[in-house]
Amino acid sequence: MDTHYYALSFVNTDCKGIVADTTKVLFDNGFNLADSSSTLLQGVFSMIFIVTNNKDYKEQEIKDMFKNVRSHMEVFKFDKKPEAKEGCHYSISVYGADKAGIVHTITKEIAKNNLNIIDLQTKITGGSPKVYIMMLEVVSDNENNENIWQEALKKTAKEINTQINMKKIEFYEL
Amino acid sequence: MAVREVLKYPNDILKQYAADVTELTDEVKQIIQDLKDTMLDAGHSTGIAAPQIGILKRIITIDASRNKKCKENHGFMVMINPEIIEHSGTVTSREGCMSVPDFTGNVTRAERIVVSCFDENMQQTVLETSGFEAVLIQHETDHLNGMLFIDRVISKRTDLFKRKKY
Ligand SMILES: [Zn+2]
Repeated sequence: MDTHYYALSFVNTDCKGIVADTTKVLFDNGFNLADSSSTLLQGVFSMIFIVTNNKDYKEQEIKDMFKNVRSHMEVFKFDKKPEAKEGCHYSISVYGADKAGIVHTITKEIAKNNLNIIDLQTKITGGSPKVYIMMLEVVSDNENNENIWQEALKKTAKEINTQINMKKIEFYEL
Repeated sequence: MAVREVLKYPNDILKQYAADVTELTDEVKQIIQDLKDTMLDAGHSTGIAAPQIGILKRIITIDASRNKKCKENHGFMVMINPEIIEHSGTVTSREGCMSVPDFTGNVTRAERIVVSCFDENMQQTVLETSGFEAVLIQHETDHLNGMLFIDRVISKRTDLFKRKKY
């Protein structure tokens, strides 16, 4: 039997009971939860589920299952199992006085150096002046040219007056 | 000489407390040999604890030199009734464990430790180590107390990872 992969995303401002309501629909319709991430962003509860099912549903059919759940949702269907990128992992943090374009400038340089972003979080502190903090995890094919892209990112961060820290994530097989 | 099956969570033995070893019996010698064989058989492993092969006794074997990037280490060691008597500093690394094969996780541990234990001849020794070897000993000692690295992951969404390769 074929396994079909779907990504479902939900956003909702009223989050009480929303996880239970959403997962009940998934469970009742025979979906298996392969991966998920949910978090509250400025009062907006956001959920992303990667689910599998033996049944081959159309995207609209899945949307209809959730018509009684009070969320904005999107469905994305995969033709084959989505694979994660392999390679060396690095954590990067960038911070500085809040101003427009920090995320774009840094991520553009990351893309230019063929690094894949696998996690990105940003926060703004409440004080005055506000401080913008961005934390990323990126994957590189190998560690051969880490000096080159790290220098390039340092230069970019300096140009927009931000501090940057980059660290290889040590992976221990114990 | 015997390579034993490595138990995987949710096997209940992995969550139990292991008993002290009081004397160096033939059985204990056999367990040490089996731990060594099983560890070497698992190509990438740098350490193993007796509960991982189903034996609730406080014995671990480690070999930090099997991690090519670990420069300073004590090589292969048998540790009976290991106890961490001093620690300082913190270091975060992403751990993988043969008993939790599908995941890796970010764990913060002491950077430098002093361990008291008995060696394979039941001689008491005290050893100071830091870096990878210190993380390794803490990880394996946790197994003797029914603790897995997933118990130590702080509940942030970025701390637990599905393994991409096996
Ligand atoms: Zn382990």
